Amino acid sequence: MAFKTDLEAIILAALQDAPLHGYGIVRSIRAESEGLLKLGEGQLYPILHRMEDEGLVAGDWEMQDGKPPRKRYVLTDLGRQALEIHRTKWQEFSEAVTRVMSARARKEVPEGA
Amino acid sequence: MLNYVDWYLVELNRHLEGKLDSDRVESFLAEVRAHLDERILELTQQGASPRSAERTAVREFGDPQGIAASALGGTGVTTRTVRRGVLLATSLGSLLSIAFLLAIIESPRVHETALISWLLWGSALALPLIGYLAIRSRRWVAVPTIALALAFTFVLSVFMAFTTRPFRIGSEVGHVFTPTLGRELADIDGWLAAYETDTAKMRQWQQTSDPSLLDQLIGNDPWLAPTSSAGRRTLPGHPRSGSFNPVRGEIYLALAEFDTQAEARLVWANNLEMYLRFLEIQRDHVLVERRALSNLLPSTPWSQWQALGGALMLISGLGSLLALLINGTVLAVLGTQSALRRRRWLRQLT
Repeated sequence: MAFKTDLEAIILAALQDAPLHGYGIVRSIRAESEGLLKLGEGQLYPILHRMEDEGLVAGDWEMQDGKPPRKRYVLTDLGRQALEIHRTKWQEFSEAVTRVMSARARKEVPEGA
Repeated sequence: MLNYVDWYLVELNRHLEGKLDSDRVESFLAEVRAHLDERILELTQQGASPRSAERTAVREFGDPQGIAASALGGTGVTTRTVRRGVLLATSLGSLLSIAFLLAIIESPRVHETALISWLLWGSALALPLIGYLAIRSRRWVAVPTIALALAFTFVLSVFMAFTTRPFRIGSEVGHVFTPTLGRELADIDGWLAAYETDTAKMRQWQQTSDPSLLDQLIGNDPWLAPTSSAGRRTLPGHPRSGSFNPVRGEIYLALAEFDTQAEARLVWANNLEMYLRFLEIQRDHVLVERRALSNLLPSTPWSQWQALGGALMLISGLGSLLALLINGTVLAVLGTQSALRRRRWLRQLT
C-alpha cells in the first residue's frame, strides 16, 4: 500500500463543501493546513482542467462587476467517489506509517527506563 | 510599461500557442489572470506596493515554461517534434503524389494506375481536413487529424485494391515486369495481326470490288458491318471491344450484327473509308501501348519523368507510413500507458 502524495486528492477535498475558483482553492488549502501545505499555484490549473475533462469536477464562468470573469469549480458525483477512495487510501497509509513509527519509537526507549 | 502580469501572460501564451486548442489557451490565460489579480489584491491589502505585489504573485505562480508543459499534458518536446515530422512527411507525400498524378494524367494507360491515383486522391482529400482542424485548433501536430487522414487513405486504397488490379501497380510507370505483361503483349500482337489482314482485304476490295473479299469480312450469320457506336470500339478479328481509352474527338465504331448479308454489304460500302481511318487510329494507340509494355526501362524523357515521379511518390508514401508507425510507437510508449492506467482507475469509480 502506498499513498502517492497527490494534488488531486487535496483539490477534491478543498472542493467538498462548496464550489471554489482557482485562487479560492489555494486559499482554502493554505487555511485548512494552517499554512503547512504550499501549492505550486501554477500547477493547480492544468490538474483542474484534467479533472474537469475526466468529469471529477465541473467548471463554470462566474461574472464579476468591474472585474474579469473567473471560473468556479464544483465537485461532481464522480469526484466525490474519487475523494472517498483517496481518503480511505490515505487513512490506511497514515495508520500504517504511524504504527511503524510508533514501534520504532518504543524500541528506541532503553529497557528499564 | 509592460507590468509583470502582462509579461507573464505573454510568456505563458508563447509556450502554449499553436500547441493547444486556441479556446483552451484563452480560457487558461483568463483563469491565470484572475488568479494573479486576486493574489495581487491580497498582497496590496497586506501592505505591499503594487509593483512588489505583482512580482511576488508571478513568482509564486511558477515558471511559465513548466506550467505550459503541464498544461500540454505530458506532450513532451520529443513527441511534438515527431508529430510535426509526421505531418510534414504526410503533407509533402500527398503534395508530391498530386503533382505526380497530374503528370501522368495524359498517359495512354492511366487506368492501370487507378489504385495509386485513388490512394493519392485519398491523401489529397484528407489534406483540407488536416488543414481545417489545424487552423481550428492552431495545433499542427494534432494526432487525431493524422490518424483520420491515414484511416481515410487506407480505406480508400483497400476499396480500390478490390476494384482494380493491384499487381499492376507501377507496371506502366515504373516498367516493372508482371506476370500479366506477357499475356498482354500476345493480345496486342493478335490485334495487330488481325488489323493487317483485315485492312489488306478492305484495300483489295476497294481496288477489285471482288465480293468474296467483302464476304470474308462480313462473315456468316450474323453478318457484321462497321457502324458508329457510343463509346464501344472493336478491332477486326478480336472478340474484345471497348477496351481502349477514350480519346477526345475520336470516332467510335464497332462491328454490328445485321439480319441479312445484303444489308451488311451496303453498310460496308458506306462506312468503309471511315472504318479504315478508325482502324488506323486504333493501330496507333495499340502500337504506343505495345511500345510502353515492351520497354522495361523508361526510354523517353517523358517516361523517365514518369518513373522519377513514381519513385518519389513511393519514397514519400512509404516515408509517411513509416513516420506514422514510429509516431504511433513513440506515443504508445510515452503517453498512452499512463493515460490507460488513469482511465482504468476512473472506470473503477463508475
